[in-house]
Amino acid sequence: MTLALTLDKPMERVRRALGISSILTLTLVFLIAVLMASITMYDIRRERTSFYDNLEKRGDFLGNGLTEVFADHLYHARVRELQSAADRVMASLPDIQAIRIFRTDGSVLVDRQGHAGNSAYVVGTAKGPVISDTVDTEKFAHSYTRDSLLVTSPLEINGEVIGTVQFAFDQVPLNAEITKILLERAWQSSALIALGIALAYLISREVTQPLKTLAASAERIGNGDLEEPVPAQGAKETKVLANALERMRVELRELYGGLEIKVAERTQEISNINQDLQREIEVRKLAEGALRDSESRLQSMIDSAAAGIITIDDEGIVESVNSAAEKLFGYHPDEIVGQSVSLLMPAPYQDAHDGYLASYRGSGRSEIVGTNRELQAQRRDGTVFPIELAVSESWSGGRRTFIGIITDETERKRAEDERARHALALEAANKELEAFSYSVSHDLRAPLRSINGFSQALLDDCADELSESGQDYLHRVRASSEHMAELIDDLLQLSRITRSEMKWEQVDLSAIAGSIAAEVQRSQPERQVRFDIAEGLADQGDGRLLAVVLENLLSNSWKFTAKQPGAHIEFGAERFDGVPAYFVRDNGAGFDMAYSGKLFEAFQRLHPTSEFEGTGVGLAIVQRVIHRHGGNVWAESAVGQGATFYFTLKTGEENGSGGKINPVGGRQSG
Amino acid sequence: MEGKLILLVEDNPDEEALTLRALDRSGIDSQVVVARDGAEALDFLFGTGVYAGRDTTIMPTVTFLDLRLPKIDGLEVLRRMRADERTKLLPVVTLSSSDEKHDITTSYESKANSYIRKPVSFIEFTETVRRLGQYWMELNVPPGI
Repeated sequence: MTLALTLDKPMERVRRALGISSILTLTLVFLIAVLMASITMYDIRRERTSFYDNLEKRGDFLGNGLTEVFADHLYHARVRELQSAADRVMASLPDIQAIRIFRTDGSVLVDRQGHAGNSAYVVGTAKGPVISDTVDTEKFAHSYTRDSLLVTSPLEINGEVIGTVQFAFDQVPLNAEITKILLERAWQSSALIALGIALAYLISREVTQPLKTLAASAERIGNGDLEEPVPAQGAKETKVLANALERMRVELRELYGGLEIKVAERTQEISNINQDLQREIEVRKLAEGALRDSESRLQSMIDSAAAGIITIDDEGIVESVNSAAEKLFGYHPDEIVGQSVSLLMPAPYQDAHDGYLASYRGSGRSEIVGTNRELQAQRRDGTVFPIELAVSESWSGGRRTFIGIITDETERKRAEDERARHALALEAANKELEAFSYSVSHDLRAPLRSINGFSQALLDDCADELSESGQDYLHRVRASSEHMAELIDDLLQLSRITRSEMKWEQVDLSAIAGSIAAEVQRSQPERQVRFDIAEGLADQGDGRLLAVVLENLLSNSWKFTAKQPGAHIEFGAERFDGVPAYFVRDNGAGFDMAYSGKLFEAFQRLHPTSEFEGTGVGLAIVQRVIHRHGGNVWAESAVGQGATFYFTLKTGEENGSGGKINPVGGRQSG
Repeated sequence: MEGKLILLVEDNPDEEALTLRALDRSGIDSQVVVARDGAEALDFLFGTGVYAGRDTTIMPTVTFLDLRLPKIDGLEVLRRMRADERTKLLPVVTLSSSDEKHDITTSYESKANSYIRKPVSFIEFTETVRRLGQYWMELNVPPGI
């Protein structure tokens, strides 16, 4: 582990310190160097091997070829010939440095070396003995020294070794050759390394430049500069990387952008909240002041309230009473505060109250809290009286208070009872009236029909026996009976209008007036009367009753314009005291305002029946209907000037029948 | 008008006389049976009392019924007629002096076929009776008996 670390760390450091191009360059140079060294070594080895092979072949040849000559000379001890033979060999073979011939005892017989032609090698020999002094003469052998190859060959005659010859071949050519190879390889290596560096530069430019750009971009992004786009260049993988980085940059930028907006929003929000809080604090301060004011106001309100106000605690003990409650129950506050509230109740309530409070405390269910209830209460003097009690519950500082608001119902009860009695009486009266009406409509008409029918029978059957005046009298009897029937019907209508229930609805007065006008026109199609009915008049009221009003008023106008050429009847509305005053106006007979007081009374007529027929009930009906609507009716007229009847359906703003209604002169009703 | 019969239920002799006169004058020559109270009317219809043994297959083509009658009033007569299989479909016209809404409503609720208010003027009454006779005796198709 320690070893690995010590090895790894420097490597790491180198890798980190060097850029990718340096590593590439170094790697390439290293590879080329190793390759070239290997090649060179191989070449040297091969050169040497072939050189030695060659040398050895020549040595063998020389040994084999010359040993016979040398053996012969040696055998015959011809030293001079032996020397000259050696000289000749050396002269003809320049790469032989030396020739030595030994006797079997090892003594040197001939030692020839360094002649002129081989001067270069002589120098070499000067450095040390070229040929060893001792030699194994028995064997043929090769051996090498630094500069030479020694070939040793035994000299034999007839199978007997008589000496040894040794040739020293010069190795210098080999060294020269090797030097040549080394030089050549060095050149080649230099060229290759230069090429490698160039190649590394190109590759690094192609591969590392985009990576460097990418690295720069990444560093920018890392520093938070997200504006400059990441260029996509270089190899496919680099582009993929660049694109990924670009996407990351864009996303980061958006993210940061969103973040900035969010931060701004949050800041704004917080500022808003702060402002709101500030405002709220101000409002609270105001409210606190107002609360103090309102508390004191409330206290004086409680003191001056008409209703009795009593507060009790959880156990039913009275905590406070206001002055109205004091008066109501006849106790001084000292007598009641601190006492049980059941003191104020008559017996049946007294017993129930404590249990009731306990059950409410337990369950929270109540029949009284939050609702109004009618109960009996007891005064100090023991009298029991009806009250209405409203109880509310209030919590303050973990303590519960019940607040009871007590209204004395004595007076209301009394009024209520009276009202009930009145209602009963009214109902009885109405029933009586109904029975009376029924009787009138049924029983009064029967004799009238007899009078009418038998008068007619007389006229039909006994006309011959009757004088003219007798017949006239019978006609009068008939007419009277019919008139009385009309009176009865009108009376009945009057009473029904008083009794009938009001049904309030939106009533289209214009439409009703229009259809009545059409109806009266149909009843006497020969008359020429111009009707002007204002459009869109509508109001709240009972449609059936208002139809009766309009029918009476329009029929009146129709009736009283009978003798008027160019008769004109108008229905419209004006403002009166801020409410609409509807009117029916005609240009008919009119009436004297002096008698206007009688105008709306039943059976009052301002014109003789001979002139205009009628029962005198119609305007009484109109008035009753209008009064039942809470409105007013009045008329304006002058004899021969026509008449205008006004009615309102509610009281005007200036409170009703004030000023402008100057009741108006007499006019016949019908 | 063979076999056509009118039942007139009317307690007031004056009214009876006038109604018969009006019927006569309006040219309706059907047989008219007059019942003077409600009980008598029911006796006639169901063949009881004074009418015991009457052939009750002969029923009035129309009944003119007054509401205010002694003993059994008109509405009760109407209810009993409607409750009986034999008379429940017979046409009944209420002839009354009253125009009270209550009378009109209860008549129709008791399944009267028509409600007529008798006018005071005899001339008008004659005209009313004539039209009633014409309608109920001639125009109206009675329920099969």
